[in-house]
Amino acid sequence: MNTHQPPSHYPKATWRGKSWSLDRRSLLRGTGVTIALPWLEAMSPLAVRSADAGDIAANEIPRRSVYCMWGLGLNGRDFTPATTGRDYELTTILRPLQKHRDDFTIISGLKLTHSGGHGGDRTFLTGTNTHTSGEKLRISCDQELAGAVGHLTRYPSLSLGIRRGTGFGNPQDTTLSWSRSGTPIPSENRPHVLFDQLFRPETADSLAEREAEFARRSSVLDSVRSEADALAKRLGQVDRNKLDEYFTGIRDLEKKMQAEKKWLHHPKPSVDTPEFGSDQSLDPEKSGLDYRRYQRLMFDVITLALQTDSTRVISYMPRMDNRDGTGAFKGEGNPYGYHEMTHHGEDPDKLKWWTVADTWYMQEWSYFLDRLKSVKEGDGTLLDHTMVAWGSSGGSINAHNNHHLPAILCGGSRIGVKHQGHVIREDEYLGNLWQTMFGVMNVPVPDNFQGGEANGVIKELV
Amino acid sequence: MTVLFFWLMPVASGVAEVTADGQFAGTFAKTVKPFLSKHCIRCHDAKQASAGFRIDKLSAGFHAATAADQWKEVMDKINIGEMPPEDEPQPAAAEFEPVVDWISGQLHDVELVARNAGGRIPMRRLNRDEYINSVRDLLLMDPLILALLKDDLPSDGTAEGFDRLGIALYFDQTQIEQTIAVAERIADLAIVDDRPRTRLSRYEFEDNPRVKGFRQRVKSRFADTLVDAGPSGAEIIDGGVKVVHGYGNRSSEQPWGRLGDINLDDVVTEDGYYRIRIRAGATAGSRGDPIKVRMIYGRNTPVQAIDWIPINAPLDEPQVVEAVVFLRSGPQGLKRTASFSFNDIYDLIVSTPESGRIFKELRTAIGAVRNLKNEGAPDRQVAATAKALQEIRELAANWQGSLRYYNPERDHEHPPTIFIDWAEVSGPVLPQWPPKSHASVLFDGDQREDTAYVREIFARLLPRAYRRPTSVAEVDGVVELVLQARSQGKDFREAIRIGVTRVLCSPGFLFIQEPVTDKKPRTLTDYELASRLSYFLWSTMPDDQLLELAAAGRLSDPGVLMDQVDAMLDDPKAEALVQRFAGQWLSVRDFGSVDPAAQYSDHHDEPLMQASRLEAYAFFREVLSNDLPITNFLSSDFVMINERLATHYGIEGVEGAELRRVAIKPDHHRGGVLGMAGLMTLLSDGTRTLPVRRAAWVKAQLFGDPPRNPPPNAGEIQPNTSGQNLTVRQRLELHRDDPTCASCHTKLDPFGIALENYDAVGMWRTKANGEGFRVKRAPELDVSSVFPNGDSFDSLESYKAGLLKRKDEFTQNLVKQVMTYALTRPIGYSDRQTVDAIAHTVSRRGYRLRALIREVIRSELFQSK
Repeated sequence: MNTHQPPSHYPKATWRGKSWSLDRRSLLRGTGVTIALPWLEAMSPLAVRSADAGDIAANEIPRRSVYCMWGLGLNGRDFTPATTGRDYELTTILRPLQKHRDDFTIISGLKLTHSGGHGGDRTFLTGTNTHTSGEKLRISCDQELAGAVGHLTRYPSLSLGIRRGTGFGNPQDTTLSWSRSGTPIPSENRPHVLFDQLFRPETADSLAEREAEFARRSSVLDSVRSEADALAKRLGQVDRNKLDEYFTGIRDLEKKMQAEKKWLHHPKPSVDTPEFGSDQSLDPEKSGLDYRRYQRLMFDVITLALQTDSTRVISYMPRMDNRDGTGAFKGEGNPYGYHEMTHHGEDPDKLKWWTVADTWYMQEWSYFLDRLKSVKEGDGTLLDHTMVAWGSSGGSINAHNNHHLPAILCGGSRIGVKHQGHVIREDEYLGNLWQTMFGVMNVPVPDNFQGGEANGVIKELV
Repeated sequence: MTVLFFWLMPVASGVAEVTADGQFAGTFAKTVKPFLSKHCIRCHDAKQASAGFRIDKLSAGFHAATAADQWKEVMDKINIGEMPPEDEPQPAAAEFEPVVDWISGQLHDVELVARNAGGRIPMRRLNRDEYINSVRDLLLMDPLILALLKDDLPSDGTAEGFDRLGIALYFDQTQIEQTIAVAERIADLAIVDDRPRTRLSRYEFEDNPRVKGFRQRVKSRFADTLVDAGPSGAEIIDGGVKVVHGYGNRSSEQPWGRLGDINLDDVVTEDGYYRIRIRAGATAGSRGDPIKVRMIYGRNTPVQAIDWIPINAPLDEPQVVEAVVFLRSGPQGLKRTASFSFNDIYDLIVSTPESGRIFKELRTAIGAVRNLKNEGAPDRQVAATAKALQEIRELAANWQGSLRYYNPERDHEHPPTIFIDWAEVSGPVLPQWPPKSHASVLFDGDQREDTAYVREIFARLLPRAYRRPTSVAEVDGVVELVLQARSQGKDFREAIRIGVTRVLCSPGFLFIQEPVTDKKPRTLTDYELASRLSYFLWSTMPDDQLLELAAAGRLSDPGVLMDQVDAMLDDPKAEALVQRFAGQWLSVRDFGSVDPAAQYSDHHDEPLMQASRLEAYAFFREVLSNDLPITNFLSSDFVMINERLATHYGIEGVEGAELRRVAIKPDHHRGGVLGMAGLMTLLSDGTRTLPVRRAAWVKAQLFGDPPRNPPPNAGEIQPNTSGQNLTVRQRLELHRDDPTCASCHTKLDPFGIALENYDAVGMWRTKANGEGFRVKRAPELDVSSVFPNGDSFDSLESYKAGLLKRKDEFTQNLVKQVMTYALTRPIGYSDRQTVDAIAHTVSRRGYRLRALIREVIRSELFQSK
C-alpha cells in the first residue's frame, strides 16, 4: 500500500465550480465559528466525488480517525472507574465528560511492549519504534490509514502537535507520525498556519507559483534520476539497494506532486476565519502561551478540517509532557510541574494536584467533543462519524509504565462503534485499539501491523 | 537441538570453502552437541530460558555478526567459568576446551566471511549535519544562515548510538521533498539578484518617556500631595541621557540597568547580520568594572540574541562604537525589539525606609478592605477596617519625606555612569556584494550568459560537489537541465539556481559513493579516502588540500596520510568531531532533557544546564587537542569549568562564564565524565537518583557491555513511599532479594552505587536527600560494593580506581565506538581482531586519544571498500 497512491478513480475536474457556487453554499453556525458546509447537502462536491470513487456511496458520510496522545499517563486512581459496563460511576477526572458519557468507552488494561513512559511517544502509533534501540524505524498506523483513504481528500493526513517539527534526535519526539521508511513526519503547531493551509484560497499568483514549483521540481527529479540510473550500474548489490530507496522516494514524490497538482485547481472549502487575534498565544514556540485559548483554537481548526472533508486522518500531540512548558494547569495554585507529579512518591499533595491537573486537561477534551458534536451530519453529528482516540503512552498505575495505559475511544457511534462505558482488556496490545479502528474505517489491517504488536480487535466496541 | 544445528548450517555454507564439511559436522556431532546437551540446554531451553538466553534456539536469521556475538557469549561464559553455575556439575578442562576451540575456530571463519561481504562499508547518504557543512564549504556560505536551514531537513535515524550509520539513514519521499525544498532555498541565497535595501532604525535615548519622567517633585504614591522624589537615576543632558541607575523594577538577579528599547519590526525583516551603533561614553566609577551596554534582541522569544558592547570612551567624550550581530526575524508577527541596558549598581537608588513602610501598610490595608468586601463580611467589620485605611491615608498625606534616596551602603559620589546619546540598528549587513557564493559559482562575472559559460560553471562546481573527478556525461546532465530552463524563458541566474538545486539533490552530492566491480574488497581510491577521512574528522567534504593530494595519488601514502590526520585534528573543523562524536558517545545531546523538580531550584538552573553541556565538549576537546590519555575520561585531575559549574562543584577561585582547565584535588570529588553534573542529572529522574540507570550507562557507554533488558516480569524499584524511609540502596537490596533480579543486578548495581554520592542534580552529598528525608534525619550514604571480579570499594575514589583497573576494557570499547562512527557501520564480533589490535597499540602508545584515531584510520577496514 502506497501512502500517496494516485487514485485510479480520481475525481474529474468537471465537478469544479458546480456545487461551490456561492448561491448554493449553506452556512452553518457553530460555536463561535460560521462555516460554509461544503458537502452535506445534495450536489455537494464530495457526493459527486464519492459517486465517482465508488468507495463510499454518494449519500454516505466519510469515516474519520483522530489519534491524540497525552504523554505520561494520568492519576489512574482518580481516573479508572471502579466497575465496568455502562453504569460505571464517573471518576473525578472523567467528570468533565459527563455530558458525553454515551459517546465514549474507557478501555483499561492496554499495553505497549516496547516502551512507555517518557519514550512512549514514538511507540504510541507504531507499536515498535523506540528511542533506544537501533531497530529500523517503521510506519505509524495513521500513515497506513492515510495510505488507504488519503487519496480521497486534499490532505491524506494531518500531523499536529504542540511542538513544531519532529523533535527527532531529542529525547522527546514532537510528532506521532512516521512514514513508510521510518522517517518522522513534522507536525504543525500553529492553528492559524494550519487554517491558512487548509482554507486560504489560492490566488492567481500563488497558483502560478505552485505550478512553476511543480514544473521545476519535476524537471530536477527527472534529471537526478538519470544520474542515479548511470550510478546504479557501477554499484554492488548492497549499495544498489540503498540507491533503490532513492529511486522509490523520487517516484513517490512525483506521485504526491501529481495528486497535489490536481487538488491545486479545486477550490479550497470556504469557511469563516476563527477569531485568532494577533497575539503570541497562536504560536506555542513563543513565550507566554495562553494554552487554553491555543488548545481550543486547535480543536476548532481540527473540527473544520474534518467537517469540510479536507482530511480524514489526524494525529495530534496536544501537550508538552516532560518539560510541560505550558504550565497551563497551574492556574489553580498547583506548585508542581506535570512530570514532577507523575513521580509523586505517594506524596498525597502531589497526587491531589495531579488529579486537579488531569481534570483540567479533561475539560479541554470535553470542549473538543462539544465542537465535534455541534456539527450536524446527516441525522447525527460529526462526532458520530469520527473516531477520536484519547490515549497515553504512560500507565494509569504508574505513569512511567508501559502497561495499563489509559485509553478512551470517543465518537463513531454511527459508523459502527458500540460504546460500552468501561471495558477491561487486561494485558492486551494498545495496537488492538488501532486495529479496531481500522475495522470501523473499513480498511484492511496492513501486513506486519504495529510490527506484530496487535493481534485482534476489541470485540465489545464493534 | 535441531534448531541449533540448522542455525549453524547457513554459516557453514559460507565457511565451507575453508572447513571441510565432514570435519565441521563431525566435530559438532561428536564434541559440541553432547557438551551443550549435558551442561547447557537443561536451563537454556524454551521452558526456562535462564537469563533470557536460549541455547537451544540460537536461531537462523541473525546477521552473521549478531549470531556470532551470541556464540562468543557462550564461549566467554564457559571460558571464565561462570557457566555452568557453581551448583551444577562442572565440566573438566579436557571436556570444555575442545568446545571452546571449536566455537573460536568457527568464529574466526565467520570473521573471514564477514570481511568479504558483510564487513564492507555500505553506501550511505550524508546526514543533515554533513549536508549543511558540505554546502557551507562548496558554496562558501555563512554557517549561521545555513544552520537555520538544517532544521528544515528531515532528521536522521541513529543506529549503534550514532547518526551516521548507513543502516539508519534512509531515503523516502519526505526526505527527497525536503531536500529539494532546502536546496532551492540554498540556491536562492547563493545566487543573488538585487542588492537588498539596508534598513535603519535610530533611537534617541532622551525620547524615552521613562527617562523624561524623572523629576524632582512628584505626586505622592499615597495621597494627592507633591513630595520630593529623591535622587534621579538619569538626567537629560547634551541631547542624550546620563544614567547612574536604570529605570524599572529590579531584583538582585537583574544587575543590568535599563536604558531604553528600540523597535526593529521594520529593520530585521530577514535573518542576517545587523550593525548596532551606539554613541556613548562612560566611567566605571569607584566600582572599577568597565561599562558595557547589553543588547537583548527578541527577549524570551525563540530568536533571542544577546550581545555586549564595551563602552571605552570617557563620560564627557562620547564616541560611536559598533558591533555586528546575527539576528533572526522569527515567525511573522513577532514583536522584534532590542532592549539596551548597562551594568550599573542595581541598588544604588532605593526606596526610603519610611516610604517603603507606608507604601506597604497602605497596600495591606487596601487589600484587607477589598477582601472583607468580597467575602461579604459584616458591615461593622468592613467599616472598622476602612477606618484603619483612612488613618494610614492621612498619615501618608502628611508625610513629607522623599520617595527614594541613595543607598548609604553604596558610593553614590562615584557610581558607574554612562552617557548615552543614541543607538542605531541597521542591516542586513553584507560582508561583501555579491556574496562569495555568487562570485564563486558565477566565477567569470555577471555579464556572460552564454551556453559555454553554463558548461564552465558546472564543470568547475561538480567535481568539488561530488568530491571526485566527474565525467562529461555527469556535467552534461546538469547543463541540459539549465539550458532547458533557459529555453523555457527563465533568466540566466534563475536557470543557474535550478542547476545548483539539482547538484544539491543529486546522488553524487548526497551519497558517499564507492563503486565496486568486484566481489572482493578493494583498497579505496585516494579520492574515496579523502572523503572518508574528512567526513569522519570534519563532518564535511574534503578541502582543496586533501583533493590535491588525492589527485596526485599521494594521500594513501602512510606518512602523508598521518600528517594529514594530525593537521586535520588541529583544524577548527575538527570541532565537528568533538560535538558530534562526544555529543553522542557521552549522551551530551540529551543533557537537559531531565527537568529537575522545584526542590532543586536553589542548585539547578538554566545557566548550569548550558554550562554542563559545554563542559562535556570542552573536556573531550581538551583530551583531543592535547592528545591526552583516554583514561582521563574515567578519572582526571582536572576539570573544564566556568564559574557556574565551579559553584556547583564547590571549587573556589573560578570567575567568569568561559570554561577553562582547572586542576582539582581528590576532595573535590570530580574529574572524568562521571564527575559531570550534566551526566549525573541526565541519569536521574529529576526527583531522585537512578543508580541502576547510572550503572547501565557506565557499562554500556564506557565498557561496551550494556546490560540485558530486564525480563518481562521484572518488578520496578518504586519511589520512596511515605512512612518507609528507605534509601535507594536499601530498596535496591530488596529488589536483589528476588532471585530473578539478582542474577543481573549483582553484576550491574556496583557500577552505579558509588555514584550515589552525586544527587539528582549532580551535587556532591554524603547523606541521602531529595526524597523527603529531613536534613537532620537523613541517613548517611553507604556507597561500598564489590565489582563482579571480586574487587571491593567503599568510596567514589576506590570505585574510580576499580574502573581504571579495567582501562583495557574501556579502551576496547572506545575503539569500537570510534570505529562505529568512522566506518559508519556496526562493529561486530567479526571485527574483533582489528579492535584488539588497535586497542593493543593504543595501550602501548600511552592510551593517547590521537593514537586511537590514527590507528582506526590506518586500519585495513577504514581504507578498503
